[in-house]
This record gives sequence, C-alpha cells and structure tokens, in this order.
Amino acid sequence: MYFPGLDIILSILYLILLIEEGKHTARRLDNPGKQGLIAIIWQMPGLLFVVSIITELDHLTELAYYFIFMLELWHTPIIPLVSLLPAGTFLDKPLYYYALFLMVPLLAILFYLPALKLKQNN
Amino acid sequence: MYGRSIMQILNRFISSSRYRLMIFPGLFFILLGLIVLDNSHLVWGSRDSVIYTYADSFLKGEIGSGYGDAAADKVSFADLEPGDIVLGGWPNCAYGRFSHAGIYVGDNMVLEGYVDYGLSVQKLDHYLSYSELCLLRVEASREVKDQAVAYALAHQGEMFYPVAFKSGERYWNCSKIIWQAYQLQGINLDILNDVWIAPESFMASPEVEVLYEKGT
Repeated sequence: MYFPGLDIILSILYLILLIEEGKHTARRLDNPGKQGLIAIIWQMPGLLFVVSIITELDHLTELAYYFIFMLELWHTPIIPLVSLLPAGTFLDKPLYYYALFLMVPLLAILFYLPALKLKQNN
Repeated sequence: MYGRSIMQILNRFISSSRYRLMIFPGLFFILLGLIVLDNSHLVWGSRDSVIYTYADSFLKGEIGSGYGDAAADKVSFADLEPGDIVLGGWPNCAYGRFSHAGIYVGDNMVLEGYVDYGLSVQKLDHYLSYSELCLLRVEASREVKDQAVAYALAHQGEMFYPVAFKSGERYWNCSKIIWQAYQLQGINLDILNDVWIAPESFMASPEVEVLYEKGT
C-alpha cells in the first residue's frame, strides 16, 4: 500500500495548521513579543541542534554524528517538502542539508507572522 | 464529489481551534493502522523484521549505530566488482550486526548514503575502520549489475532520511538505494518483504554470495 504524494499533502496540511495556530494564538494573546517567544521556545530543540552543528560544539560530545540525524528527525513533518529540492550540492553538501538549518527560523517565523500582521492591522 | 466533501470536513476541522490539534494524531493512528494491516506478516510472524530488531535493541539499551575499534587485519578489496555490496558495522548497533551499506561502483569508490552528504560516492577504504565487515556479490549478470550501479549513481545528491520507508524515490537510506537499484532489475534482496530495509537484510538474501566476512 503506497500513496505517492500523500506525504507532500500532509506536509502542506502541517504548514496550514501551523499558520492557523499562529492566527489563533495572535487573536488570543494579542502580544507579538509573547508569540515570538513561544515560536522560539517551540523551535528550541532544532535551534540547539543547528547552533551546535554550525559552531561544531557537537564535536565536544561523543554524539556528534547523531546531532544532524536528530535535526532531520526533528523536521520530519516538513521533510517531504524538503525532499522536493533539486539534488545539487553546494560546498560539498547537498542542498537539503542547508534547508534543514533554514527550516528552524522559517517555521518559527511562519507561526509568528500572524501576530505581526494583526498588530499592523490594529 | 467525494473530494469536495473531504475538503469541507477538513476545512471545518482546520478552522476549529478545538479540533485542529487532533488532526495529526488522528491521521497518525489511521496511517499506522493501515501500515500494520498491510504488513501483518511482519507483526505476527517475523522476529527478524527491522522493527523487532530495533525494539529488542532498545530494550537492551542499544539505540545508535554502535561503537568499537577496527580489527587489525587488513582486507583486500581487489576482487570487488561494480555492483557488489559492502557492509560495515560496530558491536551494539541497534539495527543488527551492520550499521552501514554501500554499493561498489568501481575505481575503489562506493555509492552510499549519509545524512550530511545525501547519496554520494565515497572512497571505499573507510570501510576498513569497521570492526564488522562483509563483502557480498549479487548473483546476477554483468548487465543487471551495471544497470543497478547506473541507477544508484543517477540518484547522487538526493536526500538521506534514516527511517525512509522502502516505497517512493525521494528519500533514501544507505540500504534502500541498493535494494531499489536491484529491485528494479527484478532482484529482491529483502526476503522478509519488510517495510524498511536494513544492511543486515542483504546478508540474509539468497540472491547474494558472501565474498568476505570479518567480525563476530
């Protein structure tokens, strides 16, 4: 049993739900600062992996090899969309590798944007 | 018509903050149920399946790819031919004796998958650092092996995802690309017909001959 493309549909649905949650939170909190903080705390595990890998702090532990694994698993809901990137490389790394890093701030921003929009409208 | 109804129901769920957060847990259990139903032969019958191996290892406290020191004996890769499979592993690996697999593409190079390199061609000699090593030859014609190698090489740079299901061709792990390359040539290297494939599965396949083996 295999439904080609179902993973992509679910991934898009995840992003739609994320924006809806962002709108809902913006209406309830009416506080962009707090919503920004929620977005950062929500993506904190991913952020810690990204910072550790970029600064090579992960090499201080015996788990260095697993940090990038964990970052990829952390991003599981949007992995289908990342997999649509072309199979090129940049500086010896595949393009999706960089996307894993970028997804942390992008997801946080996606959740935060409705708060900013609501503030502008008010 | 059905599509429209589904969209209406979905829309109602999405717009309701009360039900929205139930969508993914609900979908998760529906999909899990479908996967279990579709693979009941693994749930009830096979103790060698990847999921059982993981569960057993987890209960023993083994969750990674293992660790150890390479055995001192030197291995010759001179007899390898393109299309041969190279397996490497460490003791205490969570998914069987071997944690990594690659397909030999010639000139002392192997195509394999790593999370930070995707599917890529790497030097073969890094397999010397494994304490568990196995060289396998698929019993097939030269033409079939060349086609398998060509298929694998055509997917360089594509995404590595450690728990990639066997279905689909957008994400891979080190074993899946080898299995798929031969599967498309009519050779199924997974006798369990598992949902996932691990390096260990190749060794159990009747379609391969063991050229060399070291370790436990």
